[in-house]
Amino acid sequence: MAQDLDLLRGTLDLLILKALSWGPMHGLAVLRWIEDVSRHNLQIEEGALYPALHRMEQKKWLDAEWGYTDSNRKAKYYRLSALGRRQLTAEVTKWSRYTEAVGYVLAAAGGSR
Amino acid sequence: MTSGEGGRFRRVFRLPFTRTRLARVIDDELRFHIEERIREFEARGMTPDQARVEVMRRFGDYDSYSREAKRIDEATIRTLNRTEMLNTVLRELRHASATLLRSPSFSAIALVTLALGLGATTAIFTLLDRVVLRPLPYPNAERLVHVGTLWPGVRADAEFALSRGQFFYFKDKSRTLANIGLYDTDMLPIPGDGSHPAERVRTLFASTSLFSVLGIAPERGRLFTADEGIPRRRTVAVLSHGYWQRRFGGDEHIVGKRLVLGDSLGYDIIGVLPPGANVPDFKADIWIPNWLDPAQPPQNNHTHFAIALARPGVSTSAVAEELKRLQKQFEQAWPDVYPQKFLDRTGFVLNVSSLHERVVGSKIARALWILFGAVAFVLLIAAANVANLFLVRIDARRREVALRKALGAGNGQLAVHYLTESVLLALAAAAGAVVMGYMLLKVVVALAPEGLPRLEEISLDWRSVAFCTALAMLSAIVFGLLPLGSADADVNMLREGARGLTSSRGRNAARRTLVVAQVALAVALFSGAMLMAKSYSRLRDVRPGFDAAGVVSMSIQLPYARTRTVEQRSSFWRQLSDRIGVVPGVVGAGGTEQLPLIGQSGCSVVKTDVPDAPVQCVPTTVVTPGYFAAMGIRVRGREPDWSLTESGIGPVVVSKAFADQFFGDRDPIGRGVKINSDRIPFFQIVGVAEDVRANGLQKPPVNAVYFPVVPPKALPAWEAGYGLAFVVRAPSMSTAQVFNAVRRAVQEIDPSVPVDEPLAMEIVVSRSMAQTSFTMMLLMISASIALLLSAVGLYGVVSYMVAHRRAEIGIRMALGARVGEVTTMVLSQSLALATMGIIGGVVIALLGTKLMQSLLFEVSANDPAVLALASVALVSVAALASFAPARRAARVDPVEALRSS
Repeated sequence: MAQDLDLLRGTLDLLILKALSWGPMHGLAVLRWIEDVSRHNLQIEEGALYPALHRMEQKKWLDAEWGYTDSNRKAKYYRLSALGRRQLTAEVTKWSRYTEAVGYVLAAAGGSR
Repeated sequence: MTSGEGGRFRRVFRLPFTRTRLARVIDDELRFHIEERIREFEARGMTPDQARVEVMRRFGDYDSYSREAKRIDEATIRTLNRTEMLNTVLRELRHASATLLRSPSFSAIALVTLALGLGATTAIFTLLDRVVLRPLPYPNAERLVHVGTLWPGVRADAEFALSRGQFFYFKDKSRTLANIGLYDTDMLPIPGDGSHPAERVRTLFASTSLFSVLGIAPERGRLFTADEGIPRRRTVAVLSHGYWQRRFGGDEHIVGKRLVLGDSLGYDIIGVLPPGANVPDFKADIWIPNWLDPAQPPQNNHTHFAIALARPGVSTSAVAEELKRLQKQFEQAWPDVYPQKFLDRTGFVLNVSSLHERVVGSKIARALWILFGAVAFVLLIAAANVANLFLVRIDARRREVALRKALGAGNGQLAVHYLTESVLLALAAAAGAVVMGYMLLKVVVALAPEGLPRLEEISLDWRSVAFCTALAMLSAIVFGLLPLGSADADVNMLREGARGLTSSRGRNAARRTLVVAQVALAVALFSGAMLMAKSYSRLRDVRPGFDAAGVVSMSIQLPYARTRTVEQRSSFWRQLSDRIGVVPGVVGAGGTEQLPLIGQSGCSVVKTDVPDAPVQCVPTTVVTPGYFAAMGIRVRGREPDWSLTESGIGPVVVSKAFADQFFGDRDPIGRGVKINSDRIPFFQIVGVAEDVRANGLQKPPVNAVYFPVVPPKALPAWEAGYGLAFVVRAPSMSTAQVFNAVRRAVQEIDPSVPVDEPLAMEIVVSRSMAQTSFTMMLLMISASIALLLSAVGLYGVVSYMVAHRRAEIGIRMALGARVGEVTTMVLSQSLALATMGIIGGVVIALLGTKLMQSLLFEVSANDPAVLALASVALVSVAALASFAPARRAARVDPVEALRSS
């Protein structure tokens, strides 16, 4: 269970960083972007987004500011810091290496069958 | 503030600092998510209830997510706060040191002034702390009680000890005392061995209870057992750590060895004491049990020093009350020892005080407190100077303060800002002060009089450093908060524009008050120093009754076993005098049992052959022929020589004071005097000696009787002349040369007789003035610093006034004022300040110097000449300090002065 969560959290972090690389967003906007680009294939428990955001803020990957939405509602906006941008690059590299390696494994397994 | 997102970000998000606010902020964020989501689903056609259920399902456990976010934020806040605090401190420190370095003359003057004041205070504090404030070095120091006896009818200023009878009575009967110890001291000869010469060792005869009273435990071996206090053939000895090291080289197997001491009694060494184990007033080399027989009836012989240990929680006054009551009972129990006549005549009474008070002495404590007060004055003067410097700077900075306030700096932030600066300065000053205090303390200890107790291993320790730092921080806080006190600096200030440099009336008044206070303190201090100086010079003018120049004394003790008879002893002294007398350079030589100015002489009850003459206890001594000439004591009549001394009349010399008291107008020469006993015949008075101030130069001369070493024929036994201070007058010889000559002569007569270290009488005389000269010296140093600092303070304020009133001076000169008038104006302002200060100072001096009266000698504490001198000194200082500013004022160019304003 814990491993699942960790995997999920690591992945979630990557998704959040990627979302915010397009510009400052509030939590809901991040979620909507992920839903949108994943074509609703990725199911996230929405509340889990917030501890993740706050933890990334603590690590100084994100800066937070209060702002107002188009409909003039007060919301907390997150923005990628320079540190966060570097983190995103690193995570993306790691992810592609990971998927590549997993892909090789699966391909080899398929061949032996 | 924001980029890209076009005005969306209105406000920097800062993590909130309280827990409730934090919870609310997280709630706001999560609720925003939920509410927006519900609205979205409603827009897609769900009913409000359906939308809410769906949103909450997708969201998951609201409480747990919100708690987790909160926990994360709290950790973040803690880290942020720590970093921010550190950054603030670093920033303020950087800023403060930059500010201080930007005005180096301000910083340097403030630093040096403060360091001077703090350094002097720290040095004297250390002295006071070590000598007066600290408890004595015993485990139960606060319970130790000194018990002695006073005999006002015999000698007003002297104290005597306890009798054996009293000791046992108190030990037995007292309920307030846990224990009582008793001791006697002596110098015992110890014969030489292969590597060590014959010497005399400082021996302490201690009651077996003394160790437990003082709480002394052995370093090795054991201490006395109770039954070792009873006479027996073989007895035991305990060595001091120092003597064990010095004489026995720290021999590991010392316990069990045998020691031959004094009259060839053997002593088994049973133990060694730890370093520093001592009775308060005597550094014993060897401790021996005091043989005291409780069964013997009491005698009127009060010679044993006593230290008692009070029971826990019992005050010294309770002990005193009980012991005085017991003493009354004791006197009633032994009326033949304490007859009423004796009690009436002597005023005999018990004296009980805390041991600490006894050791430190109220006079020394008073002198040190006065010195501490003096350096506190110096510190206040220094602080006033620094405060003045800060005040001047505040004027320059009022605009800065106003600007900061206008920009939203709170009082707290400003306080931190200015405090950092003053704390930095004060800490630097404290560091300098510790160094200065250390050096000053070295000087002070070198100057310190012999009688100043507990001076060993005195040094600046953590208590002194803590004291110095605390004082520095205190002054830093005061100086640092001064600018905020002038927080009338508000936005209006800024509107004053270029005229923002005008200083307020209030601050000018503050500056003047500080200078007046400074001058007042300096006057008081200077008066105190002058009073001590006058006492010292009076003391120097006192003729002690002898001439110390070129006189050397050394103690020589004859072994009892080999000089049992009067003839043996007088023959030794005669041979010694003869041999020394022919040494080239020696003018005179002779011996005495009691040197003037050294130790406390007792008294003997003497009687003259005048009918109905008073019977009184007077100081007596035994002298050999040549003593008066050697000491330079003038004698009217005959000074006994050897043939007269051995003629069988027992020639006696009495002091003039004695002659006046006992014989009045009659000529004492040819009359008789004797120790008051029926068995003793009269000795014949052959000369009258000039009075000697044997008890100290401040004390009146003593009425003394000088007995000879050889008694009248009719007296078979005369127990005198065993140990004498042998005095040699040889102005052309060094002390060491005299010592060597005497040692050689003694060796030739009897090699087993030890000769003690020589003592120059001039040193003895200067020692007896040492406390006065010490107090004077330190007060002089304090007063000099005070004068210097006041001069700096006056100079600063007058300079500031001149600079400040340039425009006015310019106008006056433009209107035709002459240079002389301008100079006079400046000078008179300075003198007006000084005068106010002097008036205040004289008042302080009159109040304060009263406390000094007991330290003074033939000078009144409100000596008008001294006060006048102090006032004149300060007026001169004020004139000198304002001389340069006055000249600067006189050189003001009216045109330029007016233009620049």
